[in-house]
Amino acid sequence: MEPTFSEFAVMFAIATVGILVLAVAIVFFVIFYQKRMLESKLKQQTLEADYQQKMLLAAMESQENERQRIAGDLHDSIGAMLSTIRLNVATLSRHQYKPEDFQHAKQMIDDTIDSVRKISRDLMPATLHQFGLMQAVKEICTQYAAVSGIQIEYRQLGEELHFDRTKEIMVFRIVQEVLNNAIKHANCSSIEVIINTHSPFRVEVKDNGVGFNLDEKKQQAKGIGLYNIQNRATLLNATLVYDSNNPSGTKVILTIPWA
Amino acid sequence: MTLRIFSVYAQWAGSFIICISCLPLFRQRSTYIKVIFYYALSSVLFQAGQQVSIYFFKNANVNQIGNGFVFFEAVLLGLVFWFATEAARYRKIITVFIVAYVIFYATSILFFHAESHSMIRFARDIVLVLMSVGYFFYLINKLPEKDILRFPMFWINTAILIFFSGTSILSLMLNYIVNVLGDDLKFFWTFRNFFRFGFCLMLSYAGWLDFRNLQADINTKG
Repeated sequence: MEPTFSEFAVMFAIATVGILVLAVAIVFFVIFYQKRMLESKLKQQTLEADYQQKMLLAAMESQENERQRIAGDLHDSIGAMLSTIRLNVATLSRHQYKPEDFQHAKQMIDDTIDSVRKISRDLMPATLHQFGLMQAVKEICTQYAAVSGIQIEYRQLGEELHFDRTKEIMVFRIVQEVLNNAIKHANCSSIEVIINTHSPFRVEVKDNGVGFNLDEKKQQAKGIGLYNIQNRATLLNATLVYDSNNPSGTKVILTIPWA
Repeated sequence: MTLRIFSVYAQWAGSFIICISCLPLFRQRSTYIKVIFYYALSSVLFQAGQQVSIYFFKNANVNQIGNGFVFFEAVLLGLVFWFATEAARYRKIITVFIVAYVIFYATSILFFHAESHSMIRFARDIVLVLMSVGYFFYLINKLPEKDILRFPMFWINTAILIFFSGTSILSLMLNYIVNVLGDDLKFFWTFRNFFRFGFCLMLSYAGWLDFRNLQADINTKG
């Protein structure tokens, strides 16, 4: 039996409304999905911008600190020595002088030259330029051990490897900064520096100190050094891992996949 | 004037409004807006043809004119999607849909003439609904940077999805309604005409949005 007009109209209306509800649901889904994705993208962009700014600030502050340190070294060390030499030479020119008077001035000049060399070495170690990264790292381990009194052991696994000078300087600076942090803050008695040249290239710095909370440090002003380290690692396309409780103390692993 | 006749003029006027919204700065408009203009223009012309047939030729070939418009409607709206997408993969799929529809249309008219009124309309509805759902997926992947509600193609796509899904049941049951319910078709067709008027208003809004965006670009570039 064929349905009547009203029966057909009701069925038609139900079917049409059902399809329309589905169509409208699709439209609303697209609108809300796009809004959510845009919000998420904006949030990510804000976080990235914030991170970039912190990195830039860290780089600038690091540069200023370095300039301040050089200025301090020059003033306190070289400046003072040259003033003393000048005084000696002025005294010698006014009075009758003996050969031992020149000896004192000569000694002061030698000390000044040594200070200039030390400042220059601290800025850019000649070993890094002449013999490469591994020898330079070995040298600063020896130097820092002598100055700090902490036992610093250097180990190399695999053959000597050289890469681009700029990148070697960046890796060297990371190791230097990590070592400085360990000596200043870790309260440790021994540090181990391991360079593994098997693929991937890896540098590990392990200490037996007190460890630290990475997230907490990054929030503090003192965390600028950590941003510098991260900044350099990012520029190297390297990964940097902090293991601050391993088993006690800190282990920093820098992995360079392309080296 | 009855409601049915008013609905016919309303949807005819709707097509005019689309033409008016797409005409200013026509040469600088996006290609898909230009295709919408040609679609609206063809709608005006076909409906004019049907009115001439009704008033001067005693409804001679009214259905044939209507069927002819169905073909143009499917192809032109398919081309809107073709020009709106930039991805070659999506364009290939749209081309396949359009060609498949053309073949189906020709087969229906030639070999299934009695049922063709329903078949060609329902097939058009399905093809356009599928293309519009596909375009929404494309839009989700592409994710325009600005608010999606200011994007003209979003409104065109919404209008196509809602109108052709809403009238798909009518298209499917058209032959049945004509053969069984007879003159009661006018009630369903009146509903469909008013629905189409709403469809035309949404397309006109898209045309106006495109014009506004174009004006803003021209003012920015000076």
